[in-house]
Amino acid sequence: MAAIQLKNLHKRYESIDVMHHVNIDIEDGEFVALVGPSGCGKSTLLRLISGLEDITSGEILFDGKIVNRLSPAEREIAMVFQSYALYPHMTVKKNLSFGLENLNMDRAIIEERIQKAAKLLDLLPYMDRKPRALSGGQRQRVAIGRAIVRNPKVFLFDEPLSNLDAKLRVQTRGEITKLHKKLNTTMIYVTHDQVEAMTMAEKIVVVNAGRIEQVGKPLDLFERPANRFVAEFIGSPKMNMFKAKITKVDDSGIEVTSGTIDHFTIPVISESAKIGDSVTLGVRPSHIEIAESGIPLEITQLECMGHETFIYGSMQGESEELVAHLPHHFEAEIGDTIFLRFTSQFMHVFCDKTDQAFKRIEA
Amino acid sequence: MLKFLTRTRHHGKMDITDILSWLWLTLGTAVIAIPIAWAMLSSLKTEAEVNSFPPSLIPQSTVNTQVEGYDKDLSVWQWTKTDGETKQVALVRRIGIKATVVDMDKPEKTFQVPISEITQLKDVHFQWQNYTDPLERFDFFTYIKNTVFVTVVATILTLLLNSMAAFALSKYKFRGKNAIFMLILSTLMLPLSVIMVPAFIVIVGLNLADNLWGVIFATVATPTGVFMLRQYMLTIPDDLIEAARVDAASEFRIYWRIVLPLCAPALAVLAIFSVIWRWNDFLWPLIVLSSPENYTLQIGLNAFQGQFSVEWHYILAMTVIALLPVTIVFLVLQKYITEGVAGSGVK
Amino acid sequence: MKNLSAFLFSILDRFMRFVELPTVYLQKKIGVQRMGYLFVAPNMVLFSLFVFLPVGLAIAYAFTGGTNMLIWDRPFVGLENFSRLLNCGSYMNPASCEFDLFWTAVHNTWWYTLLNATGTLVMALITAVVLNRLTKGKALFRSIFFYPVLLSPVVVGLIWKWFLARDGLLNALVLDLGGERTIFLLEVWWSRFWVVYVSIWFHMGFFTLIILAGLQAIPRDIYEAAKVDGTSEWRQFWRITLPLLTPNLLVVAVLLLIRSVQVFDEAWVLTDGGGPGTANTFIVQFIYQTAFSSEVRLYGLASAASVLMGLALLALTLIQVWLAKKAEY
Ligand SMILES: Nc1ncnc2c1ncn2[C@@H]1O[C@H](COP(=O)(O)OP(=O)(O)OP(=O)(O)O)[C@@H](O)[C@H]1O
Ligand SMILES: [Mg+2]
Repeated sequence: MAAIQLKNLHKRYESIDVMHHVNIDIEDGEFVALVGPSGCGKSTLLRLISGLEDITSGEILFDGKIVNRLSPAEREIAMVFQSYALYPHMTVKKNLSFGLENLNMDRAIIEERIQKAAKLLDLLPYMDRKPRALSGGQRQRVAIGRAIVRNPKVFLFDEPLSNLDAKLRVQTRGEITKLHKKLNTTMIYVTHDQVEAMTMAEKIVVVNAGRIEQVGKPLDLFERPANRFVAEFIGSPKMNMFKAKITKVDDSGIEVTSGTIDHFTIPVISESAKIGDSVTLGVRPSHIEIAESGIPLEITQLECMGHETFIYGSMQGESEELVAHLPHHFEAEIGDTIFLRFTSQFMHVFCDKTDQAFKRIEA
Repeated sequence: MLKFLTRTRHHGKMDITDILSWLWLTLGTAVIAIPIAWAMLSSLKTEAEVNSFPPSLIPQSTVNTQVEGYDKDLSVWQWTKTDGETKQVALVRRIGIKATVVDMDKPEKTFQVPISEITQLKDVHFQWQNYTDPLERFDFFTYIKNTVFVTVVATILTLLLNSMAAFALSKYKFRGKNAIFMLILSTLMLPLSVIMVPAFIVIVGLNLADNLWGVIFATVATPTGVFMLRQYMLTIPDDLIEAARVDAASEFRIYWRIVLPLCAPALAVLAIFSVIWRWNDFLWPLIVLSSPENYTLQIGLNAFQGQFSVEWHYILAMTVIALLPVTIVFLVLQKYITEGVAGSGVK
Repeated sequence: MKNLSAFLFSILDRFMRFVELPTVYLQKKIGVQRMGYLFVAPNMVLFSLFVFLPVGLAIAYAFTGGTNMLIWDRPFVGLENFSRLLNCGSYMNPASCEFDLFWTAVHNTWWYTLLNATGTLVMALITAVVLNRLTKGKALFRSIFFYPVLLSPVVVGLIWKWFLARDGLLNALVLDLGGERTIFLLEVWWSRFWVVYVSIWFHMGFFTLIILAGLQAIPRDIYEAAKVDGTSEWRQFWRITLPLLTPNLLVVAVLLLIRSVQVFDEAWVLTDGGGPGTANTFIVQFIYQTAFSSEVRLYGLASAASVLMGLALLALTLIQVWLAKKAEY
């Protein structure tokens, strides 16, 4: 088990910088998810931590010790690859034991560890099969098993579930979480699926274009996104955004006006805000309520799932389409006009100049 | 068979093009097969028969028999009497157009018949001694031993060295990698015949002249092998190698335990080619080797046919020995060989 | 059996663990990616010794004279080797040259190359087209036609030497048909004919296979379209197959030229060292004899001839690379 610190980590390939001075603290035993859009550098970051890739500058510390020049094996990490990367010419058993053999471990200990991992992951019936003869889910488990047997200080996962079908994914998700509870080892988990990140991780790191956008607990990111990128990236469907202007600034918050919202006060710390600044307002679809009167919305599309309903529509004076998510049954016709109510505590304000969010005034 | 031969692409009548095609194939097959078959057949004939003209098709030998009252064996002849009756007789002597023969059942009495009425009896007979004699009486056993040694050692080294180079060129990032690859590829264009003189001088410098290792070392680094294996290794996912690195395998161990086994199909093709190349090598061993105890089969055979140019029965038998391994390899693995050649344009 | 191989493997593995030790140390020292140097090193050493160094030496030796083998014992003679090789009354007439054997070899090689390349190309093309038409038995005939390629030059030389011998099968057939018994390999023109013939016989299968691969790369639907139009097969060949195959054929043709220029092995065995006289003496044989089998070993002269031939081959190779690049589009 290890606590990991990344200090001012920088990585460049030839002439392209792919990691820009990244700082992250990961506590011992923590489950951290790295999320971000494709190509943002999640895998790169993971490979830098693993030691598979050399860092250009900065420091990586495991339990306070610099490991910059150590090999993956010396860092005592284990990794589960997106493609599983099982050795195709070896049986499941060999796949599990290969890493231990490389360490010149005693035969008996190897056997014991393999048996334990195989039992844990339900692999016993397949021990003599080659990976080719396994299903996707079974391969996945072998890949995890290969990581477990080595008793690593840190588990690294690079999108381990993306090759599984939806049902298996949910199941394996649960298993990995359970595994973490049981082993209590530091785990770093790359995914571009935010549901995975939200449900599994204790801490989420949002990466974008080689930079860290925000680090925090899942709900923190959901409720208090630090900037527009995080706000839009976390949560599905996406946060609704519309343009507004600041009309008043005081201790109780910022008053904004837009095409549809009139002099609405949102309780955020005003800091550098000035009257007349243009800002973007954000409101999550699930934070929108239907009311008798309020902001009119013309329904353009409706998705009723029985237990929940998505309403798509356009508001007068807004170019962006709006989505509302109701956690219950709701009936309407396309073309109907309904009335919405926004709650100011649930609204986000982003400065257009910096894309940063104004901090909420906590109650 | 006929149905198979006459099947055409139109599922109907044979047209002129089909006929011409089949004619070409049949003729081609004959042209290819006849000289080889002829050499093989001749290699089983007795010395006397090899040197007789016109030649017989099937290896034969005369039928001899022991007749009471005669010291030596007599040859058996078929006597066709003028009335059409036939009888087997043993020839005692020949004078002019008359032959003195003896009836084998009544050996006391000899009689004379015209030569035109008798023909010699022959039996199918394979002269296997043509194969065993050169091994015992000449150095062919040594030649074969040397060739097997060169072939096996050179093939193992070819597989090892070229796969190592291919591994480096496909899975590592280091300065000058592309330059090295281009350099290796460029040697594909450089035939031995252009550099044979200085290459021999290098061999002399290394003290490897007239040494089988001199033959081996100069041939094991092949651009073809590097290229072929590199192409194959590019299809091995990098993830696998990184997984092994995480699994605490050293780079050498990754090569030995992961990459080599995974390249088995490509290695097999290269091994087949290497065996054929080394078995058949001529010009280079001819330059390097000078004493008969170091000759390979090809060189030894060539020297033998220069020295004993009339002993065709031995020459041909050893020729067949020289083509046999390659032929067997081809019969078993023809698919891989033809596809390997078509795929990479090497031979 | 399985146990035995497992046992052997375990021994091998233990041995490899031993070999591994220094590489692990090195890996720590130089880093993972630079281990690539270690892996190419054995190959590069051999290439350097037996290819790159000889190329340099060939050029160096070409400018030296004398009969010593070691380069520092050899006097520098400048272009003398070249000028002597090229010293000719008329290049059309080898007898007028200082090294008439070299020019005889050049002439012989020139004619051989021309005939062999043309013959092989035509035969291989026809065979490939015929094979490509087959729906059944293609693999079988492909193998038959390819088989001679795998034989060794000595084997091929001897098989044909026997076939063409005074007491050979061919003479028997000729006699049978009322012809005259001929010692083919001792007559200048016959021997030349048979050298070319045997070469075609020997190497045709290889080029057939390459052309066949080219034919198979032509998309089927082009032919289907032509069939719908009712184009005859003959016409299809001239109007579709040949034009589409031309880039391939050009590459093959140059490859053939390159190979032909280097003719030596099988001709040497077949004709007992280039005979009758010098009727079948080719450039490579000249180099070989000059350097290795004459009383005085003229390495400088042989190297100069090698360099000249190398330049010719280089030119052909460059043409081939250029054609191959063009064929890709
Ligand atoms: N070896 C390399 N050389 C140059 N650029 C690279 C290399 N590897 C990755 N990159 C670049 O670095 C950036 C980050 O790549 P990375 O693989 O980390 O993305 P990712 O976040 O894992 O994406 P995905 O979700 O698609 O896996 C990409 O723009 C990629 O093009
Ligand atoms: Mg990735």
